[in-house]
Amino acid sequence: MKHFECPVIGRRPAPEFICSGGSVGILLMEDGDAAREALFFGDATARVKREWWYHKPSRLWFVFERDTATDFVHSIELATKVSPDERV
Amino acid sequence: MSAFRLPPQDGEWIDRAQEVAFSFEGSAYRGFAGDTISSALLAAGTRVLGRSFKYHRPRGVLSFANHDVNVLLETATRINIRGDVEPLVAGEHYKAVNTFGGLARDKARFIEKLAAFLPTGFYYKAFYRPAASFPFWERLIRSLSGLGRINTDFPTTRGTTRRLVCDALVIGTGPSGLAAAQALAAAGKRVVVVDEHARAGGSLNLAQTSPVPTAWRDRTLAELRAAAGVTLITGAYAAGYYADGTVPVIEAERMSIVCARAVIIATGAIEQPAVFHYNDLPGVMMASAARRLVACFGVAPCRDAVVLAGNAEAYEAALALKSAGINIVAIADLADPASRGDSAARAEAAGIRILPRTQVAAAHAVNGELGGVTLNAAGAAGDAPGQQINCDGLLMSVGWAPAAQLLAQAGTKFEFDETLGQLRPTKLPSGVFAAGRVNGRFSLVARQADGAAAAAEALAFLDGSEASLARPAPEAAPQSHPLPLVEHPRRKNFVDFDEDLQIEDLRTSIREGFDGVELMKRYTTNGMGPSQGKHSNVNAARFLASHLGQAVGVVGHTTPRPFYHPVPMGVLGGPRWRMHCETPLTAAHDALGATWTEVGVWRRPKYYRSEGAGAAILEEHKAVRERVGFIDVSTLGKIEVFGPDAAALLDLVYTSRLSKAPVGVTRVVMALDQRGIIVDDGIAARLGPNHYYVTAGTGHVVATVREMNQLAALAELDVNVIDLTRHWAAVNVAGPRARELLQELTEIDLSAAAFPFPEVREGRVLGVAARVMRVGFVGESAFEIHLPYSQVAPLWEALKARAPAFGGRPFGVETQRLLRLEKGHPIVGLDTDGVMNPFETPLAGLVKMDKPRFMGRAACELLSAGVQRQLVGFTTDHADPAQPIEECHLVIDGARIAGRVTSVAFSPSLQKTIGLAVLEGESMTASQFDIRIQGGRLIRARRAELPFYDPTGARLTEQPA
Repeated sequence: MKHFECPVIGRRPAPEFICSGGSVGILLMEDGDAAREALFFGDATARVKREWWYHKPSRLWFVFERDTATDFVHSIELATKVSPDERV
Repeated sequence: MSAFRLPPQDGEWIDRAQEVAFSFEGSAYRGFAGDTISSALLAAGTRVLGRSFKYHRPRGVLSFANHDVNVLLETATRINIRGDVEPLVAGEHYKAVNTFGGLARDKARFIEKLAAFLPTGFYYKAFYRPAASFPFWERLIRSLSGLGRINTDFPTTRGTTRRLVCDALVIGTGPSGLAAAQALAAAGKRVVVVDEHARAGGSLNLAQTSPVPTAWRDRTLAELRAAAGVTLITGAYAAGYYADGTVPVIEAERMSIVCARAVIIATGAIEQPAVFHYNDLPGVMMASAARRLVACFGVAPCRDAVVLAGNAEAYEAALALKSAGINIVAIADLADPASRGDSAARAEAAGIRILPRTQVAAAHAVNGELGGVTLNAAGAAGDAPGQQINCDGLLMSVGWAPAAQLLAQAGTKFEFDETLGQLRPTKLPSGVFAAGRVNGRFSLVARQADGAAAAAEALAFLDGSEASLARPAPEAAPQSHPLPLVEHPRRKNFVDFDEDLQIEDLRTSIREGFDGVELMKRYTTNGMGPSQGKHSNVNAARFLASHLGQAVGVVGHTTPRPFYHPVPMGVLGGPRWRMHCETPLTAAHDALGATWTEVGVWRRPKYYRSEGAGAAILEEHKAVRERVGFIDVSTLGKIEVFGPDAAALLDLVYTSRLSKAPVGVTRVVMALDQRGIIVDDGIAARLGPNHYYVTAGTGHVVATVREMNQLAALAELDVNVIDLTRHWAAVNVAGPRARELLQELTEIDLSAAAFPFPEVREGRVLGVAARVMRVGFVGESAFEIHLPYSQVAPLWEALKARAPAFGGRPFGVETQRLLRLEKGHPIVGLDTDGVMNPFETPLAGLVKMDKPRFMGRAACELLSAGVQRQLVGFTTDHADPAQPIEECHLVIDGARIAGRVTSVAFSPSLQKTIGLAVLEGESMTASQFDIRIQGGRLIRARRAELPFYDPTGARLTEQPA
């Protein structure tokens, strides 16, 4: 089973997490046209992405830098610690 | 003692004290406890154990290791019984599959005579025209070929599922697997060890010439059994490698999902057949099969054996069988015996006749079994002159294919080792280790050392340290003959025994342009039978390579996908758990005669008493509208939101402006997703400046809490979100006399003046701290009481006891839905679908576009401008219970589908049928439309303003209309 080495909550099994909300930076966009571009015409190629991940037991949100081609997680940060630009 | 049962062998698996009676093809047999079906039949001298898939040729034991399905059996209650490995069951009646009139006189065996007219792909080539004839031929051919008949009356078998979490999983218990497991156990790791045979030991369980390996096997197994952290599972196969060390291990009726940090794959190698004329006759088998029969089951595979040698191990087999009392007529070595190390000298010393550079050109049948072989010079054509030798056994030891399926699934890179004649892993994924024959190590010492080194690497991986052992060098002597195929003009040289494929079929495929391994596999179906190419892929690739003049490594190999063996559906399905949640009032509802329904994960009372749905719902409806009713709404999602930024958070989550709601007031709220789609609705009650209590949809509360936390993190808000769904219960009391029923139970002043709609109060109910909200969804004066789970039962009992005095009664969720529909409130997820936005519904007014930021706002900007459908109310006088309008009936506009009904019911209040429907495109504004009911009749409906009932809301707010 996959485990994530999290700097905040330690090594936790993947089923405790849910990848939800997709890539960072497009959740609360203000401009309608930009939101449409991001939601429906965004780049869907497999590559390293920064994604919203939720840890269910602790109810903490993280940003994972993950390669969606290999499922390798490069880094994990607490969502409140990433730059404000990404937190939209 | 039967004809072929040997005297007791050291460490044999059978219990000769315990006889097991069974029948095969109608004849009675006796075997021993521990026998497989095939071993018991071979012991009795029965060697024709099945008929082939296509030509109905007689077949017998080939690999005796589940690498072929020559012996595929069925009983009255099961199919897919693999006779070579399934233990004998006392009293069972076994039959071979795919015969017409029994194994011995299969009426379909004539098909073989037509083989010349049945080249690969013939059925697509021959019967495609006229098109109408194809089904006829297809039915005929399908009835003649097959692997058993499914009987739908078979008893249902459901396996169980468990999860095994461990540090390391070791697959295979040959010398390398055992050495690895031993080292891991010694290091105190939690280890799961799996082997597909009934007993552990792998190739150590083959007949040997020395007792040393078996003594080591027994000692190591005893150590593993004594070790606390070791789980040894035999008779179970690792079905596939899934991401991150997840490996399902399949036993007869159980699946263990092993979650390992490190996986050591010591799956060994699969012995490969030689291909020559009539190489499928019963009596022609792998040398390893013969050695396993002797050592584990005390069964002689034959009386007089010829051994076909492509490696040194052939000599080990000959010597071991000779010492077990089997006459070795000759060893035909495909190369120079001097190249086999000292093996040939030992065989010669033992008096075995060795024929250098000799091949088996053809086998000969006597009564459908092997009676002799023709030998000629290695490399010659199949019909080149040679000598004929009588024998009833031909033991093939010409080469191996690494059992690298799991390694490949894990993402291992391989290279073809030309010396060794097999693929060897060159780059393994992190946490995956290979050892033993699958890793190109063949001698006993090298395999043990390779296993120990793999364990050292796994330990280093687990502990973040350096591996302490070096790997032994890969085997330098060839172990597989480069091309053990002899073509014979009379064909019948089988490559794939499952599918009855011959060299000729491969040649056809190449000739017609399907000349890659993957193309040839699909064109010929080579490797697509139940064995998944375990005995045929390598020979097919070798043939293709030789034909194209390429190296086998260049031709490549097919992708081995899970599962390694076919897994029974019942084991995959596992037990059918249906888990549900109950509120604390389940017993109380049962006492009232509740009829239950499933709402998401919850069970809820649909209505009470059993005089029939219609009558019960009518009575409950009448009670709420005219007097009072009460309903358990504990299943509501309930969320506590508090902290300095509580209002700011809810302004982000919901479309309305909750920061402007006064303390003590409730608001209907709606949540959207990024795309502006309605995902949830509920009530938000403001309990204090920084304190809200929010209800959410029963099924959506987990997601709502998650999204609240996300938006709080995103906006760096100082707020706490607590899910109280399973901590607080709720009861809604609704109707004109609700206040009278409830007032005596609480200290809260419920009068209209002190507690108007839509406000909220905190106070004691039956002495318990509670929250009471005036909510309006059923359209009457209503109070929703929220209080801790443990306290709801006394409240329910008190309401029940007092209700008769007010003409009140409990009501169920079906009645509630009717009441709600009369008020025109759409239910999110029932009346809305997965792409419905607020502007398409009567909820558009809840979207406050003047608010600068909320979830879905950007999408709303676009969506509000281009509404393309509308959720509307309708009424009709049609109220025929025999021909009802139902949910999902279509709205028809001329010849066009113009929408669908989402909710519909006969309204007792309005005395007509009411409903909600989605109208699309041009029909969006139609004032009348037709609904097509079951049977095609069109019912005229009129669009109606919402709500249907009490449009001014006077009953709800208790203000004069």
